[in-house]
Amino acid sequence: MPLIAVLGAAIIILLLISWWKRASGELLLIMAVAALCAVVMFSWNGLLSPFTVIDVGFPLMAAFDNLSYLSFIILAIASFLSLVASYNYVKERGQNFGAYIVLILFALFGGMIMSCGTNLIAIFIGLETLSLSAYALAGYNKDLASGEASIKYFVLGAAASAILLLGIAFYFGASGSFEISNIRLQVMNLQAEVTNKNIFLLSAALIITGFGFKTASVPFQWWAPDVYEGSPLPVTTFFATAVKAAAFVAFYRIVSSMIPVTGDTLMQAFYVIAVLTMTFGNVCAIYQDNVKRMLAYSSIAHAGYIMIAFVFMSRDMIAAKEAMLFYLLTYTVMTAGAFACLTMLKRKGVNHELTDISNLAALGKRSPWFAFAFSVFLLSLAGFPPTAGFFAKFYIFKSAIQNGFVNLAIIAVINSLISVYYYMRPVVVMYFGSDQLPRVSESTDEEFNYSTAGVIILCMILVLILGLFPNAVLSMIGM
Amino acid sequence: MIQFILKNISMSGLIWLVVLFPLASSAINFFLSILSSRFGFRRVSSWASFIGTMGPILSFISVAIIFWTLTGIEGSEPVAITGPLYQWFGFGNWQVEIGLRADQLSQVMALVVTGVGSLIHIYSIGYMDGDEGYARYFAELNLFLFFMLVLVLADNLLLMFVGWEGVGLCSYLLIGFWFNDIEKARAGKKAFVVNRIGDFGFIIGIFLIWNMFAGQDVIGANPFSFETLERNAVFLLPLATPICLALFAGACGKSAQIPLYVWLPDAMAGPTPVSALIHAATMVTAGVYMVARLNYLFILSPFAMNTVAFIGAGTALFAATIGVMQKDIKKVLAYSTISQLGYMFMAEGVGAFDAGIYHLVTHAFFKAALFLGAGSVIHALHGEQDLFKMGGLKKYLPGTFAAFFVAALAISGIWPFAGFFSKDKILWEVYSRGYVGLWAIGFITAGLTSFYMFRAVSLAFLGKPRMPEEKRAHIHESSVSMLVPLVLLGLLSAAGGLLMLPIEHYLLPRFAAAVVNNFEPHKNLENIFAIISVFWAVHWAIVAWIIYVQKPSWPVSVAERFRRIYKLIHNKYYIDEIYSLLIVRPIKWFTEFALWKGLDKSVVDGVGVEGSPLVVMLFGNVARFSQTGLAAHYLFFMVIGLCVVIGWIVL
Repeated sequence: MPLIAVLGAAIIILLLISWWKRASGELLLIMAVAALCAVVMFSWNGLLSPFTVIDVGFPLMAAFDNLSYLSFIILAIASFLSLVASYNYVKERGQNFGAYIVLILFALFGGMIMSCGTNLIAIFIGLETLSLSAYALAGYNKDLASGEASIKYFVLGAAASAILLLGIAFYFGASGSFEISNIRLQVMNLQAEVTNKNIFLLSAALIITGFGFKTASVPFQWWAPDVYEGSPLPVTTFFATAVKAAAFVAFYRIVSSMIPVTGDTLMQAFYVIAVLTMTFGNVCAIYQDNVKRMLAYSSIAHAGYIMIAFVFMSRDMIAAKEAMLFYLLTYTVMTAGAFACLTMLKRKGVNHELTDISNLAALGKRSPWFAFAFSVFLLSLAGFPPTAGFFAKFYIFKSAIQNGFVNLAIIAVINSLISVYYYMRPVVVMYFGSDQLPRVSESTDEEFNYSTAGVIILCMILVLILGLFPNAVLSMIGM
Repeated sequence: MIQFILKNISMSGLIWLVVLFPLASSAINFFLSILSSRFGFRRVSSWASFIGTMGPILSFISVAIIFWTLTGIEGSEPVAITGPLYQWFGFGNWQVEIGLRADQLSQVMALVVTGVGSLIHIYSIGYMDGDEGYARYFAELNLFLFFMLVLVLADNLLLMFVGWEGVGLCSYLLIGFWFNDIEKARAGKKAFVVNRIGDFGFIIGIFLIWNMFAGQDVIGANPFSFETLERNAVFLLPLATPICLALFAGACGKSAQIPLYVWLPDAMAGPTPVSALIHAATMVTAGVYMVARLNYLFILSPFAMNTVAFIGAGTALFAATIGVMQKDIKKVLAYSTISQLGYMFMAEGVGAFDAGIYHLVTHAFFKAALFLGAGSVIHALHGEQDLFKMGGLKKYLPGTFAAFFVAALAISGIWPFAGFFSKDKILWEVYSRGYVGLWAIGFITAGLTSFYMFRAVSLAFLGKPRMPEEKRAHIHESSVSMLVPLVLLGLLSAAGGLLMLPIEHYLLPRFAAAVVNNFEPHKNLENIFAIISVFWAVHWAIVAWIIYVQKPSWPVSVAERFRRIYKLIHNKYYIDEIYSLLIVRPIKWFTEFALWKGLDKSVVDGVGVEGSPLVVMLFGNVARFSQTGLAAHYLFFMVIGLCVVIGWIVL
């Protein structure tokens, strides 16, 4: 049902805008939001019902368990936030909002297929649906940076897809099936045949590469900063939240089916990837004067933290799932909030985004509430209690320690200490002036607009709720 | 209305209310103090004083209701325990729950704390009138009362420790209440630091108990609750001496015993009602209360008991000798407090816990009266504290004089005032249990007490006025709000003797472990002792009166003759200087040269703070230059990455 709701809404809106050229943006937005609400509602119902539907038959090839439902909810929230935040953004630039909504909804549909698929082919199709929409979205601004981002994303993404497809082919070769749940039955066979196992490991490596690209983990993260910076801000929000969440959930599903065969072999690879990813993201973020690019690197760093869950997955599958989902949820909320704050920064008559750090100067005096909200999101990203980010990190690190990865947890904590520096820099600039940057800002005036402000307030509430009552959400995830 | 209350308020709810009233009034007053900085303190001060006094009074009423309800139930022990409010924390299969317990001991303590506390709050209305931090004062005083009640009513050792630390904090805040004066702020700091040393002992005691209980299955889930401790005290037997000594170190800090008494005289820097409440009636008795509360532990170790007794006796005598020489009226009272606390520990050390607690109660009455009287004098003389600049105040402050005089009679142990009964009880218990040496010390101290108290009375109230002429005209009796508590406390110190038998009977079940029946009651001997000690006290009182009123030249000539001893005692045996030389300066030197200059500046700052950015910067530059912006390069890096991953996993 959630899938049908999204697909239906996407098609209806598509038909509507092609026949009725003057359809108002508000109407389309309301329709899309209704579809998203339907997704959340259906998923919530599904989450509460005790039955797990696994339909491995042809059209669906999907499992509707609580992992799927929760990821539906996260994806729907992420899409909702980026849709609503973009309403003004798109309108001001005189772009076609209808097509934008359709693309987001199709991407969401792809993401949902990915997160509930039990068949590698289904997952791949979902991934491609998501990616193709994403390529188009990246180029939605008709300027050079946006176009460059789109092309770059497309070229590299195509290569990654090819590698992933190769991995899927090897997987089929090793196991004789595309079903990821079938594999467990063949564990016995595989352990006997060494050659088969090597092929299986090769496929694992290729699949890790493919998903490593989508989740922007080192060493496949190169596209991320450029694409994030070039894309329109709401689209960047979508990339950083929904695309990443979908990729992680699908990745989780595939890896969890591989673990019985590969044992601890993958764990070491994930260990290295996690450490490299978070260190790379954090260290590079320090140098950025552009807040948007800084958030792009921070998104890489957060992917590294989430990778920790994959490291201890072979020890404790359930804990990994819970920690990952909680982290994805909080990360979605706080990143969307931070990006929405950036969207608010603009000046009359200037269409390009004002994301340089100098534009934030003295924001604390000009619009204190706004500066406060932005500070809360940054604090949450840095992982200060009592915001959501603290508990997200806390649960991942705690589970890592419980499963014996103390060194990894220490590295992660050092990394989050480094991250405090660059997260605090905008805060310092906002409240204490110019941070010795050469260009003291041409004054920015924030035009108040309700859609973005609404997103900021919503994110703020969610960040605080997740930070103050993490147990309620966790128990929901653990259901 | 009454039915509604009866229906909805249970016993445990009432116990919670005892604690919550002061907390609520404290919170409101903190809010008012924030408001007062905006609207001016005069606007909020009437509200602040009303709320600030209502908290303790309501709390006192609740305690009284609890007391009468529980004693009204025939045939059962008057103990009420609230259920756990919530689980504070748990480790392993142990948990610590927040719960309160009103048994005989804590009821008596809570009655004293809230009763005397309420009177002192009322007194403060007049004393602090016109002070800028009016609301803040009441907020901190109420907060103190809250923590003190938590300490007294806690049903486990850890919650007690929370209250213990809380009163320490409030004491710091209140001693340094006039923090603009650097000396007063420093006194607050000193009290806090010295108390921390004692608290360290307390913590070690808790750890030792935990250590001994670990691995014993019979303990149950709640190892630190007093019930568990009492039931399972036997398990602590092997380490009883260290545990009790560590806990007693904590008690020494709070209750100002040798060697940690040095903070109390300095603590007189706070407002006088604070000295009365905290440093006479309540907080300093926390140590005495703790030892009484844990009597079943202390009983296990005769060595620890003897230590308690000897330190108590030593402190009593030592502080009394210093008290004889003090010129500041509050300092005299401060040393007398230390000395009286020594009496209480002496009683507890020989096993007479009930006598110790009883002396605590009467001491709360007469010491509060003395302090409030001194406060009244200081208030009338506009901040003059030097005894030698007073004199003849009887004429000007008749009410204050009456209360002060009665309280002085009480503390000197003269029949029929309260102090006679409690002090005599202690001396008799000490003697009858065979500690003749301690008895002698106590007896001498009693004489000294009488002497320095009547020295103070003579110097302040009798004789000829020694203050300047112009000041004399302004002396006036204190306002009603100050006089009423003073007179009430005076009455209590006069009549406190009536409480002796009820209190001791009431407390006895708490100290069941400590009851020893191996000595014959000598009623006649006890009476003879009592009569002797009354004459002894009266004799010294008269001597003091003669010396300081009739022959004011004597003390000067005596001081001339025994100049060395005089100087030694006058400078408080140079204890502060010795501590400074032996402890404070070495630590200061060590921190400054070894830790700050040696370690912090060179190692931490040099390598850690300045070195780590360098490493990060290097790494960051490498990573940044790889981000070329060309898709072809990215693809190349990706393929390299792919090869690495494949190589890693497959090979």
